[in-house]
Amino acid sequence: MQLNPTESAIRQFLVEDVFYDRDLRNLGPDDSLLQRGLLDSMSILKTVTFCEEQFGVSIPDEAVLPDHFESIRAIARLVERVRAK
Amino acid sequence: MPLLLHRLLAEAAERDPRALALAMDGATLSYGELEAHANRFARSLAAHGVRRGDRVALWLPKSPEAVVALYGAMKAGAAYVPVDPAAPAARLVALARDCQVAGLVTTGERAGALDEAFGGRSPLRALWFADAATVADAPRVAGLPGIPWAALAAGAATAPDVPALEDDLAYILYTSGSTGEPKGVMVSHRNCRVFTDWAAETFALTSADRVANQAPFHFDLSTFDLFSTARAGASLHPVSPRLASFPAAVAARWAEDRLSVWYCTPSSLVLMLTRGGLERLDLPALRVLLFAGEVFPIKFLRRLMALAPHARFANLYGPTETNVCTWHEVAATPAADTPLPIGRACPYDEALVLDERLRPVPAGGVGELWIRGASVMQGYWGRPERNALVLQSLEIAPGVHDRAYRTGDLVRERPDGELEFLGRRDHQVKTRGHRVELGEIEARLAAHPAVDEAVVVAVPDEEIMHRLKAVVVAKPGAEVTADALKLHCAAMLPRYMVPETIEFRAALPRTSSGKVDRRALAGADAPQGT
Repeated sequence: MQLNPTESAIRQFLVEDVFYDRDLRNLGPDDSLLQRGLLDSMSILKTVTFCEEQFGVSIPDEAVLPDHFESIRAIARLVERVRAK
Repeated sequence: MPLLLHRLLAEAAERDPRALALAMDGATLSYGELEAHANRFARSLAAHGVRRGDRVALWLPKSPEAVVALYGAMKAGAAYVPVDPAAPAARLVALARDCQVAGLVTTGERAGALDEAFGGRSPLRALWFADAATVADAPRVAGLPGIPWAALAAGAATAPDVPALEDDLAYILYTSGSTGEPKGVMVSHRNCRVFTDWAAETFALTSADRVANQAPFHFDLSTFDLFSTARAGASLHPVSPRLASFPAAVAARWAEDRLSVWYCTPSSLVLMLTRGGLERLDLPALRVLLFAGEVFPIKFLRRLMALAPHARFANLYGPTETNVCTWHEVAATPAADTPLPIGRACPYDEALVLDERLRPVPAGGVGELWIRGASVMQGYWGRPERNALVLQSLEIAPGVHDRAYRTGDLVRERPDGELEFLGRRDHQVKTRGHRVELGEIEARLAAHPAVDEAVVVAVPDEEIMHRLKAVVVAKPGAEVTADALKLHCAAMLPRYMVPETIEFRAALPRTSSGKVDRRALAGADAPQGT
């Protein structure tokens, strides 16, 4: 799987800090995080905070929606979009 | 006709079978369809040996099938046992063994973990896969063949002839237990209906209402959503699991769907205000907003009331053991510095404020709240010692005795007769609306071989009321990390009970009397009980 640096950092954070109780060594960039019920509200807030600190961006509350957290790739796209602004 | 919860569905279907009962993720069920599906599932339960007085566990994401399953279980004479869909399989298995469930409704992706956790031995007589279309999609678990949901369609749609009484158990909800074992709260049809009937009348629900359902089914706020709605023949709008964790998505959906009645925890509402952009939305349809489960921070309640000045707001109070037993209608926006009372007893219950020797405390004094009346649970499943402790016969009037439930909540009666909640007698806390016994987490941590002592404290938080922090003393020479302990907790406890932070110390701070100094560990003036 081909991951850009943003996707890699998000993936590493999710696998190590959020889903520490699951074996997700094979989590791919397009695998659904929501379909599998992986992300709960606490995990989402942690992920938002991580992205804001790691990438120096500000993610507005109204952008924290299921479509933007569907997969690692979707989260990375959200980060790129708010960074471009 | 006896006061049975599933009668509410049958009556609504009889009155207007085409009326909308449920809408979720674009799928809809009319009352006639919901009744027919529930009857078919009840017949399948009966055909597989589930009898009156049995238990049927539900371990699946919120869905129309979950609603069908809980009504079907009751129609078969069984109590439904909803289990947190996010809980680990080990917890489902522990609960299924505790109350010896005869039937289980789940989804295919859970089969492997279930089979492993049951280890070949289960109390089940049968299990159903709510997402399975064919036998091939319904795997075997613990030696039992799975039954695909689609197979139910072959059965008759009329109600099975199962006798039932209002004192039969309707559901068992597991709550956190202070000694490390969750406790199954047994609630009868009558216990639940006195509340749901009263609430439907008090808040004047009609068939025109569109009722939100945010609470999961293993949380008793959902009984209002399900059964007060059915009583009124209104429509139920469960939040899709895909949206549930996104306050902005839930808020937008509720506004778009023009939902008229909302009942949820203050935590959910606060997150919709602070992170969900609720204040940017128009809420002309909102007519009734009820909340329960936590103390509502007044500053946020005031913001919420400003948003929907035309709506009715009420604070409902009651532990799972009594469901809602007192209530307070918030008639005018409260002043910023006045705590919101929990109000007066609902008409089916009586609230007693007693001292340590079970004598009434004069108005204005602090005492423990005891509740007696029609909503008080039947007891905890299989816990006679615990029942003897919290369900006691009290002298209500000279020579008149009744069984009452000891809430563990400290209250005071105000001069106007309304009760004010002051705190807990013990180490039970609320986090994100969940009720958590810190002792259950401490017991789990202490079961780790490298842990000598562990204390869990609740650190106050503005949005979610409390965050959990564990302070651990490792055994001499033992190597253990915070991640390893989180993993150890997550293997048995629901996610919301896994401490967010785990700190290691050489020793725990003690008070002069030798007790662990919980206040010092939580920082500030955290309400840690006594």
